[in-house]
Amino acid sequence: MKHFIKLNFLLFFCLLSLLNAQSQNGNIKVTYKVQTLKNFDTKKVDVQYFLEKSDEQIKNLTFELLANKEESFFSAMDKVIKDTETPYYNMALALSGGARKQWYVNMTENIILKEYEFMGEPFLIESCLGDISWTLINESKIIAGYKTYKATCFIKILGNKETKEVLYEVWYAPELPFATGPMGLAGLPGLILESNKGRVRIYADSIEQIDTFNIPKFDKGKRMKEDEFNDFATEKIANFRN
Amino acid sequence: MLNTKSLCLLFFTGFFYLSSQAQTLEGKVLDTLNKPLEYANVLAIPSSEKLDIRFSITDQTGNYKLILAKDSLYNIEISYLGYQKISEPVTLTQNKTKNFTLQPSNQTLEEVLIQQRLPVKVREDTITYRTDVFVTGEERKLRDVLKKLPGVEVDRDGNVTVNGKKVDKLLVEGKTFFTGDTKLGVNNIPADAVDEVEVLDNYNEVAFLKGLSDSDVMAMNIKLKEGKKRFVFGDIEVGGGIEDRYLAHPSLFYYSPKTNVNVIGDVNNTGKKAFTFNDYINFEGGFTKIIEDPTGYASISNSAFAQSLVNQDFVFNRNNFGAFNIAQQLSTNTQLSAYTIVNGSTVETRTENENRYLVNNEVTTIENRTTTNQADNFFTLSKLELNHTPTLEDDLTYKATLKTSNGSAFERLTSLSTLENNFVTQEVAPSSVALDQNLTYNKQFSYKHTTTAIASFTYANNKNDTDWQFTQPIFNDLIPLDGEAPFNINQRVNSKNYSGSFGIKHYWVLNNFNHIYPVLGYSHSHQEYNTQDVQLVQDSTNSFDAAGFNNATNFKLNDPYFGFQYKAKIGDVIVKPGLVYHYYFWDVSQFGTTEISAEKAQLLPEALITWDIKSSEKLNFKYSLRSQFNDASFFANRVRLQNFNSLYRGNEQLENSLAHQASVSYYKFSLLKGLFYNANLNYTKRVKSIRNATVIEGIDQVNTSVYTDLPEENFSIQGSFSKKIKRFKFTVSGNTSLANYSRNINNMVTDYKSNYYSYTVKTETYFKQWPNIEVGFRQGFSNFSSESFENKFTQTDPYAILEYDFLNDFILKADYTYNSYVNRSENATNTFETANTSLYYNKEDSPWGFEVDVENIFDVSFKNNNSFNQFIVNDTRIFIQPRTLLFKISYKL
Repeated sequence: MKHFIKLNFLLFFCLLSLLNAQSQNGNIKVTYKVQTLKNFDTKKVDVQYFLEKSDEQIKNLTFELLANKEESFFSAMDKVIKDTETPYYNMALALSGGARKQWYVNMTENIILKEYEFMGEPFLIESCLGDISWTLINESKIIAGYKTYKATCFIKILGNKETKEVLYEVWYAPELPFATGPMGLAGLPGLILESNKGRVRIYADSIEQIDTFNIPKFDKGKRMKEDEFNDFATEKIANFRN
Repeated sequence: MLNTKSLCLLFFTGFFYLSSQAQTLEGKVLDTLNKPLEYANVLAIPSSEKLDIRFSITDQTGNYKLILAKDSLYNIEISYLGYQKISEPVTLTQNKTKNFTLQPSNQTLEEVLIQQRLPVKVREDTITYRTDVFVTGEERKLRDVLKKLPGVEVDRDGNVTVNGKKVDKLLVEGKTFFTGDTKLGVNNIPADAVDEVEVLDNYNEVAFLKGLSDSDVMAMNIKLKEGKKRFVFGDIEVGGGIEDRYLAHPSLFYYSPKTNVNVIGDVNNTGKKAFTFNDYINFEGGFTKIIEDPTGYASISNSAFAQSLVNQDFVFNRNNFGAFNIAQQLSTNTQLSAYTIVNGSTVETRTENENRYLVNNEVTTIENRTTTNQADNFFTLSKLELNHTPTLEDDLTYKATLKTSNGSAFERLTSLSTLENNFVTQEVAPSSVALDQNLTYNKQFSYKHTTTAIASFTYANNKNDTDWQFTQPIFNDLIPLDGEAPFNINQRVNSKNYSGSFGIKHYWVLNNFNHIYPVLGYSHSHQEYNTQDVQLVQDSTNSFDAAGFNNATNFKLNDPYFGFQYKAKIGDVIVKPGLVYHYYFWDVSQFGTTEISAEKAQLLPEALITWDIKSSEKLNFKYSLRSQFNDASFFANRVRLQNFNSLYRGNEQLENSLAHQASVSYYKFSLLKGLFYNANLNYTKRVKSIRNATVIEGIDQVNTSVYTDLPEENFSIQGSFSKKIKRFKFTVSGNTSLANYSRNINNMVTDYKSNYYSYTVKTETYFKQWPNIEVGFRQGFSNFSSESFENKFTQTDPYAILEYDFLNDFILKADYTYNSYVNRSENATNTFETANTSLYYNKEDSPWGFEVDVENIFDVSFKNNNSFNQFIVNDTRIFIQPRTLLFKISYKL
């Protein structure tokens, strides 16, 4: 998978931005960067220092979304880290929510697949685009030259005793007709260029047109429906804590 | 904001469990325009003190839900920023739905913020409790406060859970509290100092270390009241027992936001080490430091001082100990930490050996040796660390360590052998001073370029003065002793070391997958080593100078080096090869005459390959060629007495030892299946080594260091497998080490094989109510052989450990081990049993604790041990402290 990204990166690197969104039918590669909106309230001491160093590293994270009209693939870009920075980088990756995960969205088949490592075992978690219930909000702003609109949704994540819902606030661009976005967020009438969760913001840094892309096989791990997995995982977490 | 909805859910479910005779009050909180208010606090304060406060936070549609006791009067209080507070009594006879409408407040926002601090505030990943709403004033410690907060639970030990999730880290005023261990803070921070309790969810600092990346980790931050930001706490333990055993162990902590002080004292004659390895880690900066620097733990645990914390066997041990630790924040960017440890001890040991000496692989002589030793030692260890981080891009650290030690020991040794009997007394008076200084500077120029520079300077001065008295002359041919028995020999040894080094490492990020790290440095060491052995004859001395004794050796070593490391990532594999070029030049002189002036180039390759198969599965491969120069004492080419039966001579011709080292390590775990595997392989092949050539006659030996390429190989493999099934954990582990080497003994090269195999099988239980036991069986096989000689030992140790918390306030601990030694070559068996037990009583919430402690229940007087090397097979009895019975009382300040 990593080879493939690297290969694409080399072969299809293209400086052309999208000329006209309406005529856009092909494949795109969107590079997302991450930033943290503000720091913890803690005083500037050891913990703060650790978090600040991690926030520094967050700027070095890059995610990539490969998409066409039918399907998309989202994952963290691989890179090698200096030994001295490894703990901060790992922290940054964990904060962004993208550590050891990747997403495949099929817009025509209405499927979202998440590859996820849970308690040391790989899982393939399946959900439907329709499961995300978007609230469209009549606010707009311009991101990278595109007019975007705001939408919010609650995503179920694994909590401690039960799943909890986390608020995502995203900005999508109807001019870019790809019903997908970062971290498996999909199903809006336009490409998601920015996503906010808590203090972490993921935003599109560049959009390129590419000729073709391959989606890696999602065959690692046990395949489960999201609800089924959430029940299973919640029970396992409860057992583990006992 | 994110967690609000789920938090509400959690609170609700929590409350369902709590009350059986419960009624539900639910509804919406709205504003005057009938729009729902999200995050409004709804509190139900009972008029009866027996009932708990109930509480709910509205969700995004303004819903709240409270589970209240039936037929009880509650006062419902609803507060919301910018609205007037509602206060309304309610008594439920059945489930009820009630909506509340809040009136806008005409106060300005600033006024509201000051006057109306919400009892519970939920914002993003943080829940803040204002504690004065929940406490009754009778709370003694933080734990009592936490127990009153909704959703917070505290167990006996001081572990805290919030909504069922364990708090992993305790902060006070945003800063790690001493060690970061929640228990210390929870059980000790005075209740009246606590203002707010903040719970930071998704605080992931340690999550990735547990291999659970992305999982939720919580930290709790305690905000202190104005005027109560300084406090003192601690505890004192005193005890006494039969045969005049005593102990006193006060420990005192002082906390203020900028200054943390910890004082530990200890006086005892029970042999227990008062200062534990954990205390030492705290002094070294606590576990936070270890998290940030993964090599930190290894370097702390390998330090000479940490090694001395490991208990050794003794007959009697008295310790007077004091330690002082301070962490001071000098400014926002500058942190000072320092500690001093002072220890005075008296240790008495007694050992009995049966030594069988091998010459040409045959037992030639049997010696029975009894050694008793009484040692007084006084040492100090002080460390100062200054850390300055003006920006995130640069930081400067200065460390200085000063160690001093002064001791005196008296040893009485009886050696009875088939050849001769000798009674030896030995008095030693060692003293040492060592100062170590270290300056590290890190500078990040850009993401692509970071530089680390390290400068260090070391000064060490070790002296040792030894007086021997022998009833028989020793080494007749080599030591020209005068007069009649008893013979007195005095030896003075002094070694001084001045060394300094400077090194730079540059981190250069070429691109996402390739880094290159050039290194450059220079180190210099200058050592002076002096020895003098003389016989004391009445009023004069008899010098052994003419017999080749006494050294005045100077050794200077310079080592400039440069090289690089290359780090690359290919898929899930990280490779990190490196190459460093050293150019050594050194001088050895004896009594001012230069004996050696040499130089040598050495290329040292290394490689590291890491394969991150999954976050829970990792494979590591490491290789390096290691080069090392020994210290001046090995270059001192004239004779000195090592022991009553051994002489040693160094060798000015020595060079650097060289060895290939390779290791493979693998681990895999699945928390889901409760499975853990790990395996390690290590292989060392020596190319050039510094070894002794030994001439042995009877029990006497003369050792000379030689620079040799005699073959020497070590191979070891360790592995373990464990599986958790419900409340049982089963573990199987094994260990094999194989060594092949050759030694020069009596001018003949002999090959040796030393093999060791061992395995452990054990079962542990993890019950909550029942007693927990660990039962295991360990067995080890040692085989030592040469062409014509073989020695085999088997050691078998079944053991059991019990821990039982009962009647809430008692803790019973006991352990038992059965030790058996079998010499399979001679069919001789030795067995002994060790057992200890203690019973502790502490009524929860009471500052008093009581303990009865029995060590060495069976009153075993010695432990058996076996060892062997090329010329001695050794059967040792190490005498241990007889049974001790102690009563202890502790009081928590």
